Amino acid sequence: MIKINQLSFYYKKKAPLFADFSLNLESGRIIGLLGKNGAGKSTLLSLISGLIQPNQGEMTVNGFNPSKRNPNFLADIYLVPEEFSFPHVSIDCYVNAFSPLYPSFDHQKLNSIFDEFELDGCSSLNKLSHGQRKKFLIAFALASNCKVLVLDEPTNGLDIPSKSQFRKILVGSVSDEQLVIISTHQVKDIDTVIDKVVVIDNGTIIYQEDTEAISQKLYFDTVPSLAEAEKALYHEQCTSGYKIISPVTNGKESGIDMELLFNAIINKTI
Amino acid sequence: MRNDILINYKKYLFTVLGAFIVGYLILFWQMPTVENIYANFIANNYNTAFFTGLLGLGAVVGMAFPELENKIKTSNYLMLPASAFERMTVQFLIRVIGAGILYLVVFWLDAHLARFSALRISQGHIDAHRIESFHFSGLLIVKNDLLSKLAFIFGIFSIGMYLFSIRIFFKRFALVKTIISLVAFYALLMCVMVLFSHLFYPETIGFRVNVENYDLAPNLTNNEIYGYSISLLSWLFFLPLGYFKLKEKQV
Repeated sequence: MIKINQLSFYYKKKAPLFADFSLNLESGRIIGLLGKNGAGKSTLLSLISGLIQPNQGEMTVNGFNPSKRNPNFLADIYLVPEEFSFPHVSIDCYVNAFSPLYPSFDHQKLNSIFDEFELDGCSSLNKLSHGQRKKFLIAFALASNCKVLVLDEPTNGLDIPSKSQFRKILVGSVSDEQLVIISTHQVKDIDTVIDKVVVIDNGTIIYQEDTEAISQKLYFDTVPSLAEAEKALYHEQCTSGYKIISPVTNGKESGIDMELLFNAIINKTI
Repeated sequence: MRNDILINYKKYLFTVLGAFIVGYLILFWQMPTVENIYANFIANNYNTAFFTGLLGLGAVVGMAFPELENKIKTSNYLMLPASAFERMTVQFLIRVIGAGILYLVVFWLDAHLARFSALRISQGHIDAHRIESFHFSGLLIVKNDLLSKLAFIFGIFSIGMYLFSIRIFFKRFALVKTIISLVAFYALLMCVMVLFSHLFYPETIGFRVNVENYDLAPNLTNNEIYGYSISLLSWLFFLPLGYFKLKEKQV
């Protein structure tokens, strides 16, 4: 679905952000793209979307070269950017104007997501709050049924109930033919929906693993004493003691604490 | 195109309505009134109004691709499933063909309505011949031959295409920057001409341009050919330039 081979990219008058970068992503997955500020997450999403062109290397998305911005490629990829702007029209007008551009657009799905998010088609887009506009954009992206959905910080600006609605809707509406890439700092918001973690730092992939494999290898727990914590691969102090990551023993599995995992990866203990 | 019209139809309607009202008022106020019954309104008065209005049309053309004004809107625009050719065509049809035809229609309506109301309000005190009727042919203020007329029309079109295409190279204040670039381009051209004048005609004084004028064909001088070539052909260069810039546009 996405094949990146030995890609190089740098912004003008700046040091290379990506050098010899390679990544393969298959459809039917929800990918969590994690990284610190300035790690290159948004740039990678822009490269995948064809908004910027790599300086070197090969990249295909859905069989297309994104830089060419072929209309068939653009009809099958939807980017939900971190910052967005809308024309001064109602939700219904926006949907009428832009949905025909996406051949697989599902109006029924859109209406059911609107119901979940409590969005009204008659509302003027620019009179909605930032969170509501974000929910609209997510709803539109999911209803477009594009094969590649790129979500940059999708939970920014969403309130707590909306975040859980987002997770529920996302899991319920993504098919096996689709690939969803979620880039976020707020790793806790997506830890239950992603099935692959990709961590990048300074333009390099420092970790990529399926969540299923992580659960089989690593055990996440909270222990009361430092003595127990020090035996672990990684530990962090918390109110109830220490959060730890240790190797799985006796086939015992746990849920993944994505924030703890991310910190462990960044601190190079995993 | 459909989505552009669906999103912007109110803006377009208000612009046309505004242009209609402003055009009517400007023409009507210049026409003879009961207090000033000996004044005349001749074809030249229409021309002044028409070419002043044409600056407004130039602004509409130069404000094509409004989505390119900032990074966020540019991202949204470039992600829409359409080719660079389709994007260019939509803007060309709306901002050049559509707005151009509407401008001609609106001006024609304004001119006739203003004349009709001025005569009607005067209640017979003003002779109808004091206010000339408007005809598009009166706008072609050039030599009465086909080539000159074509060069005049395509000259205006080429300036429009410059505003339309070069705008793509800029983000914020694109229209202003495009006009500045046009002035700078013209100034550069004049500087080169002055330089060559000094090189080939040492007797040239100061910033004068010294160009020989001679007949290349009956009723056709070398300078006319130079002017006609620029007028008739330069748009053929500007449109592809804009197209390739749009195709290569990045955020």
